[in-house]
Amino acid sequence: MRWLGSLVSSAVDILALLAETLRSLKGVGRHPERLLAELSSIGTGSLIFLFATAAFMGVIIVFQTATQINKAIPDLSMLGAGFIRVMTAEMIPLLTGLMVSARVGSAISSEVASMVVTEQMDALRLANTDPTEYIVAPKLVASLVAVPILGLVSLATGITAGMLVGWIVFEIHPSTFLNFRYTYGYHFLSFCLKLLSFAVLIPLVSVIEGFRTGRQGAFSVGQAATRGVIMSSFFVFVADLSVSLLERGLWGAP
Amino acid sequence: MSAPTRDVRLKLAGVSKSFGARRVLDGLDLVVDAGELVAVTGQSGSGKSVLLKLAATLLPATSGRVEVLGVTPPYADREAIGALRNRLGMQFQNLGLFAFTDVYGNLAFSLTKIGMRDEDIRARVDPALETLGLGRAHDRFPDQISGGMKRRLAIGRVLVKLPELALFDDPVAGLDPLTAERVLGMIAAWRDETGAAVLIASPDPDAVRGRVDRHLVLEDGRLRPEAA
Amino acid sequence: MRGLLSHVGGITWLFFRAARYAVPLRLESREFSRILLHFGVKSLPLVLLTAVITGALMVLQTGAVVELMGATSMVGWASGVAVLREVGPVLIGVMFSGQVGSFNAAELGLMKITEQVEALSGLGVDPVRFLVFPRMLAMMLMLAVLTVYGDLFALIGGSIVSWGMFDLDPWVFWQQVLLPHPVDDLLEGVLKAVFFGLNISVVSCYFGLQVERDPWEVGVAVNRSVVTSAMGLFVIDYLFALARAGA
Repeated sequence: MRWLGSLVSSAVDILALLAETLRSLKGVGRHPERLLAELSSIGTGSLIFLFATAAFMGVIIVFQTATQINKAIPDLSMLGAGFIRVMTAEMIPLLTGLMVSARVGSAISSEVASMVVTEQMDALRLANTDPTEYIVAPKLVASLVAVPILGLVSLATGITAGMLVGWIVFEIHPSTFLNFRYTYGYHFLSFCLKLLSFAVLIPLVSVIEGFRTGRQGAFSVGQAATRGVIMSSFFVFVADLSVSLLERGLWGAP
Repeated sequence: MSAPTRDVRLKLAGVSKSFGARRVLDGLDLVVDAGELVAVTGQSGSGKSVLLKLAATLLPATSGRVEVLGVTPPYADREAIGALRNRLGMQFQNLGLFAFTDVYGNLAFSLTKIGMRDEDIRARVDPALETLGLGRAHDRFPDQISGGMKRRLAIGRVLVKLPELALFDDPVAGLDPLTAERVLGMIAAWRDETGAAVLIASPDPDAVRGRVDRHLVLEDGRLRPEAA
Repeated sequence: MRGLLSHVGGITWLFFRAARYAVPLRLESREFSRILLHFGVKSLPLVLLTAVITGALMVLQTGAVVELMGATSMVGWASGVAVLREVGPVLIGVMFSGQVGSFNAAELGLMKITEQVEALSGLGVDPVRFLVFPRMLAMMLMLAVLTVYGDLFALIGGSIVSWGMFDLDPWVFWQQVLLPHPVDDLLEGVLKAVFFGLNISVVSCYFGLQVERDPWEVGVAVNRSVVTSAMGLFVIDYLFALARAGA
């Protein structure tokens, strides 16, 4: 049951760090080079990875779904519409969130942990620089910019890949794929809301795990890296489910 | 004729520092004047790093009076304590080298925060790079230089900042006696030139003994003079 | 790009070196059981919790689509298949690769920094035999077991949501899931999980053992192993889908 307590305390810490980071936000403009470095690391660093996994996801889903439907009703004309909706509202956001938390979560938490272990945080404070403003805030801003873009790229890639597979393997005409009949406005809202919450949660959770590290050198860095991945991907799941339930609750069926 | 005005750079009176139930410093007294080179030795875990960080205003005391450069550190006021810290320098036990910038950037970092112009920074850092023997490594990152170079860089960051109070946490750890002697000589020479107050912590009393004006031992949370 | 290829080569090489100890089986049973307990038991709560959430998510989505097509009665079936064969193993695999993969890479990285790996070699013990092979087997076994439990919990999550959102009687839900011979799907999911376990263990061991001196490298090892094994997961999943289509 102890892990439940640690989850709750993490949630509290996230809110506290968010508040502090928001306060430091205006200072981010003083260090544009940090912002650019983070954008490159979080954004462009994840691009190819997401590209590939989104494509795979699109292909796999179309494969599996088409095979199943073919067995029951050999009419694949509505597949595209359903596919687009599932990708937009659920699959792509979740995939993006998980992949970003895998890649960025461990990187941020181990970076922060090794900074704590080598006393870089103290050195920053002594050099009249607030670590939250200099280290944390740029990550948050970069994440807020990069994650939605990554999500959109993934969506485009996944849909395209699925479309191609549908056409080549199942002879489904691509035009049926660009059918937004089953995808409503609030699905896009869901998409955006999920990505934004991931963009906020992933860096903050990872930073917190980095700061929570002990001072035992390599051991602490490894521990922080591990917890960074685990906690950020867990919060991604929770946020994803929350938004999905909220969407369902607010707009009902379907 | 009046006595010359005393320039006290660090004053700790009855200072205690506890972490939860663990009391590390217990009613400690220390005064360091400008131009003094003081060494504090003691066993590992005796609290030397805590003492130094407290002097650097990075940790608040649990009780007692702390005066750094003549003022009580204004912990609550970001601007004010930043201004105070601009006049302090510390070499950390784990070096604290910034992984996100190169050797030049590490030396220049605190100077940019003080508000110096780029040309002035360059004028100060370039000669320092030569003195420290880091000239050719100026554009390499901390993870690309040797252990000895890292140490010199950490110490160099303090010297280049020209602080009024300089703190060194274990500056000669793992160095052979000859190099250790050279490093301490560099610090002492710098002290002669700038008149700063210098406080050095080390677990090895033999390494620092010859070089310092005063040698204190940290034991049971307090300082006492080293019995020769 | 070249870096990626050299890593893939290194990972494959490590796999073969470890696989050597499978035939004939030379397993350090104490290490093996220690790892099973260490990783398996620790991962359980979080994986199960994630599984419940995953099941709920799956039903929310597929249920809505199936509902549109006017086949509410098929919700249970759609979820069953989707979960058992596809989503269950993949998402659990991702969670596991995150959790265990990073844990493993960090542990081995630390052993390299503290020169324990060198010490093993010095004693005449092949680190691959003592460290890598038991982890490989343990994770393959663990992931299979966790997937079975995970599937169960995912379906539980799914039944709760379909009851709450679609007013589908849980009894009916479970009947639909169990009706179309789910055992095949379950076995396929388990087999996939075994391959996932192999992927995660070899990749994380590889990157962990690449660490040399700096504590910072441990973080790099964790990051690389999580990313690479996640990629590998999708490739394996894709290959399974291909194989299925071919069959």
